[in-house]
Amino acid sequence: MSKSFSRRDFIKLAAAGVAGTFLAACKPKVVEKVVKETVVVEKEVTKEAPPKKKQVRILLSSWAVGEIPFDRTAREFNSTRDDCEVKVQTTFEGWDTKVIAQINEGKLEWSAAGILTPFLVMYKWVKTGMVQPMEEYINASKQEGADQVLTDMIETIKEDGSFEGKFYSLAYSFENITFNWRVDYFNAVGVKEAPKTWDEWLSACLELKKWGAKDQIYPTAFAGALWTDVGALICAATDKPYTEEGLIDWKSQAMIDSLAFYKKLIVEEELTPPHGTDGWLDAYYSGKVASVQAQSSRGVWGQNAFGTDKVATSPIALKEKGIANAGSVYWGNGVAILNKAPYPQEATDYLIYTMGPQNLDFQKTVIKTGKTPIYNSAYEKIIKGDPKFGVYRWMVEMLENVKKSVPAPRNNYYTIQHTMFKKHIVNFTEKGSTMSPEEVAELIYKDSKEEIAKQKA
Amino acid sequence: MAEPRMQKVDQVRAQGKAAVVKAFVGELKTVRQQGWGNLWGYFFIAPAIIMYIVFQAWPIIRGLFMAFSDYRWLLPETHGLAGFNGLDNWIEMIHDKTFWRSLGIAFKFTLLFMPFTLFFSLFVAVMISKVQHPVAAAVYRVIAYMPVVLPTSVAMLVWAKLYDPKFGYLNVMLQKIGVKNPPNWLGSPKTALYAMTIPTIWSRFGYWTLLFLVGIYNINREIYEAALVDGANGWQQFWYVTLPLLKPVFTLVLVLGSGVVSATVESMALFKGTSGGPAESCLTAGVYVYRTAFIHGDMRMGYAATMSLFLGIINMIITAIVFKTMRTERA
Repeated sequence: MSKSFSRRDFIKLAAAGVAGTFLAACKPKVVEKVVKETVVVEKEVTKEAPPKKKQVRILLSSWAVGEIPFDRTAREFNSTRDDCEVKVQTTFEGWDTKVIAQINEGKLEWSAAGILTPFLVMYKWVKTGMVQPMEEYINASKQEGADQVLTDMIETIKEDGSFEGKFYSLAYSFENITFNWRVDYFNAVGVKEAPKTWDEWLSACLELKKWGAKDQIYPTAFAGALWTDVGALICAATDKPYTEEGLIDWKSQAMIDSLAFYKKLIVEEELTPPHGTDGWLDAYYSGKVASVQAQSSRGVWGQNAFGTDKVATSPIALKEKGIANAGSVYWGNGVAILNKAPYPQEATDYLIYTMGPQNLDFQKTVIKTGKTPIYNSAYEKIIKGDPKFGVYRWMVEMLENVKKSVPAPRNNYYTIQHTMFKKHIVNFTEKGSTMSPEEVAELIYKDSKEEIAKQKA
Repeated sequence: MAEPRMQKVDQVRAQGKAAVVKAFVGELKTVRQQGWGNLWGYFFIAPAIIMYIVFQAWPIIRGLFMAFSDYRWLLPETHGLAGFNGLDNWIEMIHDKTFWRSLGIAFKFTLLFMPFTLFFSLFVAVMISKVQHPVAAAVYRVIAYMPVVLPTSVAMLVWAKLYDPKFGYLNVMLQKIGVKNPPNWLGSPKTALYAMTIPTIWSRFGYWTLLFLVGIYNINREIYEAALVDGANGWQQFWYVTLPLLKPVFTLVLVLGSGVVSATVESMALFKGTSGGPAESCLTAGVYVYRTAFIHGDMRMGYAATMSLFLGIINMIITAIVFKTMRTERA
């Protein structure tokens, strides 16, 4: 121990340091008080001091901000409001954990967050207390178009954005599983329209197989997720794809038929990439895939790559003509108001200003990115009404399709079923596989039930 | 100063375990007698201690508690002390077939990854060490290290394209040389684990190469000269001089590379999520833990913590074995 610096000296110094730190920490509050007082005085004398604006922070996925000009609409919105300033920020790694931690501490800095895919994450967002219902804020909003938001919205999209009867997720567009096809390739084999039934799909693919053999073109493909593959096929085979316990109806005849058709395309006729999906996207961009069952935006990706006249998007083929069906799997790309948000009303106002049915420029931008609008009026005014948007006429069919679609059950089982689907489907679609549709359905169902049994929520 | 102390330590060790314990207690008393020491020391290490407590010690303590609780992220009533469930998670883990299968896959992956990476990194390090021209050696070092700098997700994306069953460079080349049905590398359960191992070796061997190079550069040249005078050829120099003197580096790379939770990031990047590859053939223990904690259902972080703790214990045992078997005077 140094004699020139005793233990007592050290404690004194440390205490002085702590006191200094404490004073420094207090300093901003003192400044704030002075500013407040100054504002009051200036108001009395000059009446010109600008009031402090509410900082409304909104978190959005980077892909959405890259695709849609949310930043620009925030600037426009800010110019119309004196009381608040919206700032759009892209989500970051672990953002949801941070949001929940801040909610628990009562110091949340953001007011809204997205993009929310309801059938996959809504349950989680609501149960963790991350989001709150927004209907009240929509009704209270004085923003132009606020009164039409819920009345003009496609009914099934509203259902998709709701949980236990409350509306949580305001979407800017929706996506559904569609049949995205190369018009030029199909025309080359004499097919002028998208196949309406599974038989038509199969026969067109058989022709395409012969036609494209030399260039190694796959007649068709699947995007590889449960909701793009058999999860969508079952919707085209029955109007009741889900069971009362909230699962896909794996044991139904419709599912067995869907799996059998799936295997026929992949294994028996070899019309797809291996397992229906391996490397499909690269092949698609290389012009080596004639059609793919995937979300509608994939069709627009194809149009961007090859031209609007080369790729078309149509509703998925039905099992049989005239069969009762559940449309397709679909979801809204939503934004939700965070629980205990500092400025929920202002955030809602901004979302309505930007994404509401009255903002036709925004709706046009959405359409141009290949995303389908969620308001009935957008179809009438823009897609049907504006000749410049004739190329997006296919979206009207999507509107009709989604109107009859059944929302996936509001629970957290879809992800579990997706995992089990991925686990077993490879053995089912492996070349030479003798596994029957009943067997694979039973395996997926059994494993899903076992995993669900481990959950309590 | 250090050598007489080391001699003293060796003397105590030689007297047996009781003497070691006695000496340790004596050391503790000495520290206590010294009082607080120089108090400035505490001041200077305070930031590091605080950081350690916040970012290391607390998560470890929290994780330990969670491993004995039914903590589910979606259910607030399971958080905190209310979630304590004793050994239930451990009993579930013992009966969890998917966990044991994923642990087996992780071991298999480690057994594939370790020897190849060791061989390649040592080989490249020795080759680079033989390059006399300093600029050329630097260029080779940079080239060997480049894959380490590349983010794993980007590297795996590139490899996924190389492995494409029909249009990937690998299969196109195989077809050019007459292979009629090249494998579906990432799509088949038979090949997926091997296909995942190759990019992992590629992305990590540069780091090990650098460690070996540092070890080789630190070997005294005079030892090689002495070996040369004794008539040792190149191979004998490598076998009897380089390898034994690289033992500390071997210890380090074996400890770094033997983690059974390895390949978590690679699997998730290659197969775009927690599916674990075709028919879960690449579902390593790390991916399974991640899926349990962050993807499925209630997000069972308590059970995931149990599995993580178990993996941590396995890693500790492996590390202990490595230290025991590779122990030298220097390491």
